[in-house]
Amino acid sequence: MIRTPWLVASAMMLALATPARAQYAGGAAGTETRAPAPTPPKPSSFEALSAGDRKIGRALFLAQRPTASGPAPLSLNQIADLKAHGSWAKVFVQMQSRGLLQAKNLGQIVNGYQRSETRHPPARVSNSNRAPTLVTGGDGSVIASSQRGGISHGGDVVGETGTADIAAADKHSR
Amino acid sequence: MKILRIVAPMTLGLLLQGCAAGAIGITLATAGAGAGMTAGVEHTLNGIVYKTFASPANEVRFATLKTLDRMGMPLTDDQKTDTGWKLSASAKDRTVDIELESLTDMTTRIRVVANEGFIFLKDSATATEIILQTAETLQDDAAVARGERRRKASAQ
Repeated sequence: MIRTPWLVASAMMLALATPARAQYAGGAAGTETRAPAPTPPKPSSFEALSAGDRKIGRALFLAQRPTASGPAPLSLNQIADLKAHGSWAKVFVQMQSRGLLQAKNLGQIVNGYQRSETRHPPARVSNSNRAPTLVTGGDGSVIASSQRGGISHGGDVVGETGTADIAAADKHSR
Repeated sequence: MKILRIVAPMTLGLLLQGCAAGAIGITLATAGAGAGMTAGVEHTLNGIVYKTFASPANEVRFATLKTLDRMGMPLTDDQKTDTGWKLSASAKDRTVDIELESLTDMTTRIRVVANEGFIFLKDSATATEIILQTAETLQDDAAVARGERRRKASAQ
């Protein structure tokens, strides 16, 4: 015979077990049966552009200079949508008329983008010359720092501990 | 009374499970920055990461868009809401949901959730990295803006 307390207890155990599984799923991914991944989203309008068009679109995107009270900057997809209705020159004019661009012409933007691409590759780790970004535990201990060999965090890996790093970072920032 | 002895600890367990990652959850501190960012403490609960920036929503959204692009996470949704913006991006079998809440004209809170495959699985490491990289992008943007202002001032 199944008694009511056991039914309640079983339901509670089930509720407890589900989030716990979620927290540790990363560590035991190889042994657990994973939920099916969601269907991959269809390519965005920006991704549907050719490689050359993506470069120009990204150059326009990065050339935006948003201000607090000004218009919202356009996303890559929004820029690609504008391109779908006209040439890049038209897109440039539209963005310029909205006050999103300060450059005088499209060539200036693309040249500037190409120069910055050769100077700074897109993938990067944190710059050691700047003040570090710290991830700390609830007790103030530093779990990860952007200054030492890039940012590392998550799981059970505890890279650094101690509040000295925070003090040093504060000192560095002043 | 007997049932209370079973149910009460379990209820307590349910309420406290978000604290497993650290003493009282994970906190994120950004020390030293331009763009009005000073040392601050943010919290995550079950993989949800928050941070408040002393920057306008426009600038935080732009920094977030640039960060997602740099991290190779294509944008799947970008909507204006009553309080700010709601963005979504994808990465492998993850969907990243980002909410930007404009607290004041110059203050914006960002909330990042990286859902891994199924809604209950959260990838807090990726969510944290998005916020850290967004903070760096904001610093870079502020530095560029300062440089442009300096150049204009010296040209005059």
